[in-house]
Amino acid sequence: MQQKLWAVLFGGVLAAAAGLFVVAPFIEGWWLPKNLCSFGPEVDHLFYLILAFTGFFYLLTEGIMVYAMWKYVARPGEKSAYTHGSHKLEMLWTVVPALILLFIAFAQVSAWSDIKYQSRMPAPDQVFELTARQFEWRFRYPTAEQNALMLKGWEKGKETDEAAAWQREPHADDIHLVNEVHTWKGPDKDHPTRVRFYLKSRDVIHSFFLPNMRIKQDALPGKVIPVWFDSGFADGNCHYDEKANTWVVDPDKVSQSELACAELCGWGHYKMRGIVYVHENKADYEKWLAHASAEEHRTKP
Amino acid sequence: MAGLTKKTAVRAGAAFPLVLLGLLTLPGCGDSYPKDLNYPPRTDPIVIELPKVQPTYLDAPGQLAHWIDSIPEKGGRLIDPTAGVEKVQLAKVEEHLSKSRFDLSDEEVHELGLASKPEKDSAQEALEARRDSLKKRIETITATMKGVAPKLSAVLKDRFGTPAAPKVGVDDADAFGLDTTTLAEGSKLYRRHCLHCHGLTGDGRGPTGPWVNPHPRDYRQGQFKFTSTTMSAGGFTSGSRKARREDLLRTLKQGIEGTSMPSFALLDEQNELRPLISYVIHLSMRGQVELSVLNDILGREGDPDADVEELADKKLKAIWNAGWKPSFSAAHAIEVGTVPSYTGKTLGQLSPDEKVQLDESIKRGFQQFTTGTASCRSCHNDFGRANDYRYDEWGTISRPANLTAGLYRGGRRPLDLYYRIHSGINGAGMTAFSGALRPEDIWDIVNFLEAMPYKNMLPPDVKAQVYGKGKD
Repeated sequence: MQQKLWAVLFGGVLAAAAGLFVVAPFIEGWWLPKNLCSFGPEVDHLFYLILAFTGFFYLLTEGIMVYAMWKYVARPGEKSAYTHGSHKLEMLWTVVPALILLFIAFAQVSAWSDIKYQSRMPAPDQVFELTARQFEWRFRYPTAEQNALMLKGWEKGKETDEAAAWQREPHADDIHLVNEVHTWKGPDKDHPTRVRFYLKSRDVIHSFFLPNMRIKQDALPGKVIPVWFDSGFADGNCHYDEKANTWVVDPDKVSQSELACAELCGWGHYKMRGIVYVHENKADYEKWLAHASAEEHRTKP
Repeated sequence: MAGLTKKTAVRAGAAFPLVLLGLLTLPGCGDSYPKDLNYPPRTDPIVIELPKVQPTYLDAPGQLAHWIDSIPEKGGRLIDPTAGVEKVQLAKVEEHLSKSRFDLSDEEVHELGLASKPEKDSAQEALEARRDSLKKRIETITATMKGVAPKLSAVLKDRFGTPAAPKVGVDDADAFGLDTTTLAEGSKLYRRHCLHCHGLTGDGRGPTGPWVNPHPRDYRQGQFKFTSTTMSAGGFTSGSRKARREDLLRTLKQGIEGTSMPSFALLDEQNELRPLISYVIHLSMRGQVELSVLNDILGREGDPDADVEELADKKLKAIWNAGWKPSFSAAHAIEVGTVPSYTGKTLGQLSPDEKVQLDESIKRGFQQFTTGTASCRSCHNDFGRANDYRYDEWGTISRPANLTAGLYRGGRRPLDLYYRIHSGINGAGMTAFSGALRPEDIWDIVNFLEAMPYKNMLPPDVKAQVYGKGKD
């Protein structure tokens, strides 16, 4: 009965894998990162929905497989039976998954369109430009005045001409930064800061990914892709450090403020990390912006 | 599967995960260097003279070594501690002789390392003479290096340690952050973040180095491009302008836009960037000592019988006392003169008067750029849009910046531009203008440069000359 050990081995490994899913939500850092964006729950809902489907069928199919390995293990002296299969069964396991896929396809439409369709994107509170390159993120922020100018008359789904022009042609007063997303916490939960940015790539395909904001978008060379997210559930996560004369993320929030590249873009892919700074309010953000602008215009050592 | 019994199959199945686990413990996957690892001796050629004719094409990806080796063919000169260049030339000369091919083209004359193009009937003689001199040269280099290499390795190991335990063999190293603890920490971090491009010895020839262009900096020349000291540039053979720690820190934090050097701002300044800077300085000093000793022994006026240890110490002293140490000193920091009130302001911050003054300054900067003393245009052709390739002092290719692009490798702050104009860019052909220009002239140029990428920041007549009439 040595061969039955195979069933035990497979059953054990598969059960352990399923077990990981059971314990993961209770272990810090093993489950979904904390959601900070107002469309996050929609995304997470889809994740759980698909997890439920796949989890159920995982247990079902693997259970049948392990059972079959145990039950029908080779028996010396016994001949194998020949079967041509069952048309009914095959119909079943083709139609059921097809229906499930169809269901998922329809279930995700609203989340997808809310997040990705430009015509559905809300009017923003903040605009910037982000250019990915091997291997870093180059940001271009407008001044506070230019930001206000671009937002004037912005309606849902329709950017202003001013913003489109700023995207095409940089302004002399723009602020350039590497690997730093800066935004601020909205006045209340119903009025989060809505961020809209123009995503570009200077070389290959990269993917902008904020795990905590549940937003992931490929950057394609030659294309300007509008992306939005907001700081719906975010708290301020940074403060001014006088000694270093710069803003730093609170140590306990560092793990919740990561920007990553989610598309293998070359040997330095892992280096494409960035930090999301959420300022306490708009005034704090503008204080930082003025500081960054002054640094960029520095004329004295 | 006849030969495979069930028992072996079961054993193999059980062994597989164990093998995977075992792979993780292989050397090289850990955090530190093997204890007995030494810095390998320099075997690549030293570029001592660049070709007179500027290159017309970029070296192909991965072909850095080949590109450097081909410099003599283009009329430059190399010193090769392995005599590899001479051996290749000798093979070519012998091929010409054996096939009696004496009708030489200009290119072949360079390729064979002949001083001038020989007449057709004296070509055989010239080639034979070349053959003999090459043979002699190869013998000399081989014999010299046989004696020198072990001594040089020993003295370098004694003064600079090993990758696992680096040190800098000068008395006051500790006072400048070059103590062994910091260097060991820096070495570890360098291995993780920098080595794959900049190489174990800082030669810029790590596995990924030859594949990116501009190539990663070869620290062994002792030259760093973006500096803020008033000291003068002196090439690789002497103690001269080095980078200040602040300059290296800024490069690490900002990265170099337009090259493959990314920003390392996410590393901790005190515990990670500071040791990295120390280690880069260590590699640079070690490489420059090695390079200049080899140059003094194998060079045209070199002395093959020089005492290697004495020579190395002399070089080390010069590089430290006349190079790094004064570069660190605040006494040699660039002073920026009186900064005009309208420089470094955003449009919103400018008063109407200042706007007028800024326009005047931009016009003066434009004059300097085009026809004035600075005459930047002689290199930055068509304001940098029509630039040709040039050799830099490493033998690789650089090109004068396109100043209409708004992309600055050494940083975009007015201060950075001031530094670049004031002291030039080491090794890249950008000369220092601190002697020729007054601070106010430099500020005029800075103002012009800051405005240039943004058409509407330029006064109309300047705009028309930079971007042409009729264009918006």
